[in-house]
Amino acid sequence: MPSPSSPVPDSTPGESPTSPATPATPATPAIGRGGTRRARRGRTPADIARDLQADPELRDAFAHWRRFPERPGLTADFPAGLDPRLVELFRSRGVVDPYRHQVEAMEHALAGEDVLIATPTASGKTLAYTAPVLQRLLETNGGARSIWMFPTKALSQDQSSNLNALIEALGEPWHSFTYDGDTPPSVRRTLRERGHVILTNPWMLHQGILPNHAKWADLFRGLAYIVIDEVHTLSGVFGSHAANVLRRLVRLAEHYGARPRFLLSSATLRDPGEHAERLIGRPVRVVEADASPSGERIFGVYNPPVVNPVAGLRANALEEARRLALRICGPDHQTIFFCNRRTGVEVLTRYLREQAPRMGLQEDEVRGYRGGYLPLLRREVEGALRSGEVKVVVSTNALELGIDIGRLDAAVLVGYPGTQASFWQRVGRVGRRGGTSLVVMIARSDPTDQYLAHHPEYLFGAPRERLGIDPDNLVILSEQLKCAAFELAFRRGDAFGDAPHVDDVLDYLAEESQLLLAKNDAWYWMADAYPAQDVSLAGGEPDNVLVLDLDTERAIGEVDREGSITAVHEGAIYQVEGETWKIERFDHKNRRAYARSVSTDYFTDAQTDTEVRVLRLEARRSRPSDYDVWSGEVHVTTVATQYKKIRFYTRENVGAEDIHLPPEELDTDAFVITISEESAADLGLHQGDGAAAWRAVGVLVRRTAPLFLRCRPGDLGLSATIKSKHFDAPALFLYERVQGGVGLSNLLLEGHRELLEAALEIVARCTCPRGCPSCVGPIEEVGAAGKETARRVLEHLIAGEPAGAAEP
Amino acid sequence: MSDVRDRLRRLRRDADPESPRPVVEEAAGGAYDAGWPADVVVAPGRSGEPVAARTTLYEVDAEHGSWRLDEIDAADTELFGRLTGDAALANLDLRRAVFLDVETTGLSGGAGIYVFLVALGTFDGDRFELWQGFLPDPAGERELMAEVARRVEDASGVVSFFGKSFDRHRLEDKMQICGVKPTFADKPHLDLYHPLTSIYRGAWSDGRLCTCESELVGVRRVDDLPGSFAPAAWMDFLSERAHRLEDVFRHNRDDVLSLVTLAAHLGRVESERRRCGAALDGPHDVRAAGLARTLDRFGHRDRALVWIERALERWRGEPQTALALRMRQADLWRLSGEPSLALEAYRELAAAGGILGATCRLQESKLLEHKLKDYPAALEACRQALELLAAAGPYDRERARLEEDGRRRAERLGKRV
Repeated sequence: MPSPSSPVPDSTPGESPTSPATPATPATPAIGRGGTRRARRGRTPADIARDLQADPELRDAFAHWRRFPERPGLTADFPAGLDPRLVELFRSRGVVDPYRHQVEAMEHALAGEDVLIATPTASGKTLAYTAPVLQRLLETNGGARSIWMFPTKALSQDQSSNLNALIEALGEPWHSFTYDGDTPPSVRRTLRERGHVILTNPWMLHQGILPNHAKWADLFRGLAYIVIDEVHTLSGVFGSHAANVLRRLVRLAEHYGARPRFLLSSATLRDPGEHAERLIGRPVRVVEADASPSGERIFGVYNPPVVNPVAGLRANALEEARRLALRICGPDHQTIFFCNRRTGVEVLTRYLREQAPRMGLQEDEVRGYRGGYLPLLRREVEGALRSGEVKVVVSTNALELGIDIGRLDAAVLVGYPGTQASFWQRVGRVGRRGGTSLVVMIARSDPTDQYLAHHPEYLFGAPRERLGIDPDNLVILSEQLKCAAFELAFRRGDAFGDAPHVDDVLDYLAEESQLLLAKNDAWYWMADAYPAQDVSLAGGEPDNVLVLDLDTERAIGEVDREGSITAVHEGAIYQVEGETWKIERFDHKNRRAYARSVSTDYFTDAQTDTEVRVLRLEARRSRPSDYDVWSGEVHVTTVATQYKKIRFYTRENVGAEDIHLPPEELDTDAFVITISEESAADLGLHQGDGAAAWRAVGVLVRRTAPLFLRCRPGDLGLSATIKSKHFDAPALFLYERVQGGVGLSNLLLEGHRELLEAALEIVARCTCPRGCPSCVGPIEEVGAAGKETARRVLEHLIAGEPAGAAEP
Repeated sequence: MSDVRDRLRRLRRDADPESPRPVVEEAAGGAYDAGWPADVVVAPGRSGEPVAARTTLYEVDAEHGSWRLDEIDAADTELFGRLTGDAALANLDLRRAVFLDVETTGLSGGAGIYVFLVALGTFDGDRFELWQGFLPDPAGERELMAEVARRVEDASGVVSFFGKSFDRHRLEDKMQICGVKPTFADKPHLDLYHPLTSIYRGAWSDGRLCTCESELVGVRRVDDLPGSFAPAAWMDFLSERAHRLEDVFRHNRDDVLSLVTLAAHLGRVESERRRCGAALDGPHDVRAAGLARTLDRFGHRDRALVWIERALERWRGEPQTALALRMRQADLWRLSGEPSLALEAYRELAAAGGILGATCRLQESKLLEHKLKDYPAALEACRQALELLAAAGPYDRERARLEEDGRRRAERLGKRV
């Protein structure tokens, strides 16, 4: 039997594709290619699951199995108020009895409410917002207009053709158009004048439609509905900008006398209504009881075997995916593999094509799919998935959203996708009515995946994640108010959604930025500029550092502002797709780094000193004279001090040099944990490796944060000190790496207990003796007693009464 | 406020104001004034609402540059139709049209651009009235736009320079935003930019209004304020600083007066004489070629042929232009049922050899085949074309296309003969 670290040996087509130890596995008989295909016919996902559970080579690696029985759909009559023509239309298209959640959502929308429908992929959300829009068009004899906003171009094009088919079937002379960067200028005019439904995205609204609203006056005058699909994708900096784009949109609609209603859809979230309300700035009616039917589903969580116990390394997830594919894929069902990175898609697609004969498939029955492929190619793969020609597809999150590819039979998630919403979106790709489907998630070595391997209830239970969004972040708000003032003058006291400080920010833009003229209690845009052009919805980009080839000045990469001082300092080795470049010069002021291609046997690792100064504490929970958690505003100064040269593979330190760069400054929000001097002493934080252990607690909390809020570990910075000047005690600062913060700190404060519990679980579960990358970090970083001390600290924080509310 | 302001300063990293106000250089000439611009009065306009405006009256025989305003009466408006492809302009009543020019805070477009000065010139008996509607406060946009919409509505049409692409859209956008119904849609609009730059293409380094007016109607501006300073002048006025609005008013006024005389000039380009009989200014060879091209483009073959002949008589510039004109002349003869003239011209041009020669031989062949039914001669012309192509310069797509065409034609004719 091959050891877990060595992949299944390659075999030429016709040979037995599996190891000699399992000759009895029915899926892999030792016969020729046609034979393999024949032998794999007729296997259902249920058979495959049974085989996996029985496979002596694999069964121990499955940490968990769960079976969800078939669930019938709950249907209801179309709402009484819905136009009979629409009822007939939907019936003729196969929706004889809509699901209850669809009916509920339609009823609320028809009653004039703002509605959010938060149910899984493929539960029919589109119908719920299409019906009210068509109804209003019928009622107004084509007078009503609507804007549909999608997070990706592909989605809007998909929806546009569906919608046009419905309109055509109704026999009405209405039009829906996609308005995006690909729309040729020659048809934009037609679309402005004749589009009843405009399908677009936040960027086009921001830079194209809103600043030129006079050209779209008809659209704004008749604007009845703003439809936003997949609102869970609107979080963080992007979501906070998008919320302001909506404030601008509503403000303009009101200027033209319209009062549009919102129809929103979302993946299942912990509190979708709260998120939606932050996004649109008003209460919404939430419909989240999914009444769509689903077939039986079998879930397996696969935890690859440990190959290096000291380093805490498990077998590579891609390699394991290839191994599992041999058992799972076959000619009579469709399997989708989800990778978290584009390179993963390419590598795995190649692997699977190479071993296609051993899976009983032709090479062209295995396809890759990701953003960056040409639209035509993507359409072709989508079509071939729908028709069933393609048996295996390897994709990034590009197939996670509502692109129509039909339902597949089996899904393999190569690593946890990072958010619960994504997990369920991916899972939603499989499950045919009346059949059984199979989902396997392969856990990687990192703490989050390891936590999930041991806590399947997190995956299958109620959603826990919350979305960070802060439309009132002053940086974002002030940039967006610039755009809004360009679009329409403000009078003192005018509302901008539910934003605070509007007048103050406008005063600032008038007096300090000199972009506005303040006159008679009003502000007018007063500059020869087009502000939307300079305001990026993703935020921060103008500060990014471009990495250029020293000889040709060709751009080879980009580094964000905060990361630049450690990634592109002079002497740094900068790596792009396996190539190594040495940074020769870093023009810090002009945000350019110049690199030369070199071949080295080392990489560099920069050390930083981070100092966090507390500016204002806003919220606190306290367990008196023991520990406190806080959130508030901080100023973070990061200095890159020196870098080490570390040899590849051996990780031998082959030299160190100083870095001379100005400090990186950041004003943001932070979540802080402090512990009293007495408790710290009791827990041993003041002796030996205590400081390293204290830091390790922070590392763990930072890495578990993505389980409870939508962020990446890199979105949070960490600073640990055993003697904080401000608190006069040990403090852990988890600060948001976005100027001004986007609301993550408050979510961390509110959910800190769950976070600490998860962190403790990881340490307690990990089988390593004294620390590894799957828990607190390697022993070199945390010291001999580090893991034990960190565990004690976490146990102490969790034991007993939770911290209660207190004055900051 | 100070708290929000401090936080904004810190968070936005605004050490310095993000776009420092452009400083108007003192050296640019002209004077700074303070306060309200002279002769601008606020009075109810045609729409009944108060509008700030300056009205300047000119006698119709007043001179602007070397032309009199009433020379507009001698303009041949049918020519406007021919030179623009817009039939509605053939009957444009210039005495009842508005001559339009606007000053704005920017060229980028979008809702945030203010139109702060709108000049509309109209004839009224023996007077020319130049009305300059002004925006003394951005809050007054609606009244100004309502007045402009009304005045445009009252007119028979609009005359502008680049106004179909710029001025009209800035005004229509603002009207939409202010809830005023735009009135441009049904009005004939003579945008002088297109016919003038088409006729005089290549004569000057650019096609700006100030170039046209100095070359064609003798206008020499003194101390003209560059257009880029106009926004700053208005913003200075609004902020109650010393300003150069007077220069902007003058610049705007001169633009409109030039619209009148340039329209008068355009209305005489075919006769090439002013009302008084004097020859028209401007390069007469370029004009002839440009008229030929422009008339041809809008389907006026006979007139185009006349102007090609004149252009060929006058042309002393680089020979390529003359060859192109002769080629087009032959084509037009062919198209307008003069096969023998065309044939002769193609034969003559074929002597030049090369790609052009081959093209002419092929045209000759087509003409012989389809119109004159002389198949052997057609075949011969086709063979000559192929010979010329074989000897022509570098092989490119055009040559490949012609060779392909020639081969197929020769094959077909060969069978026929």
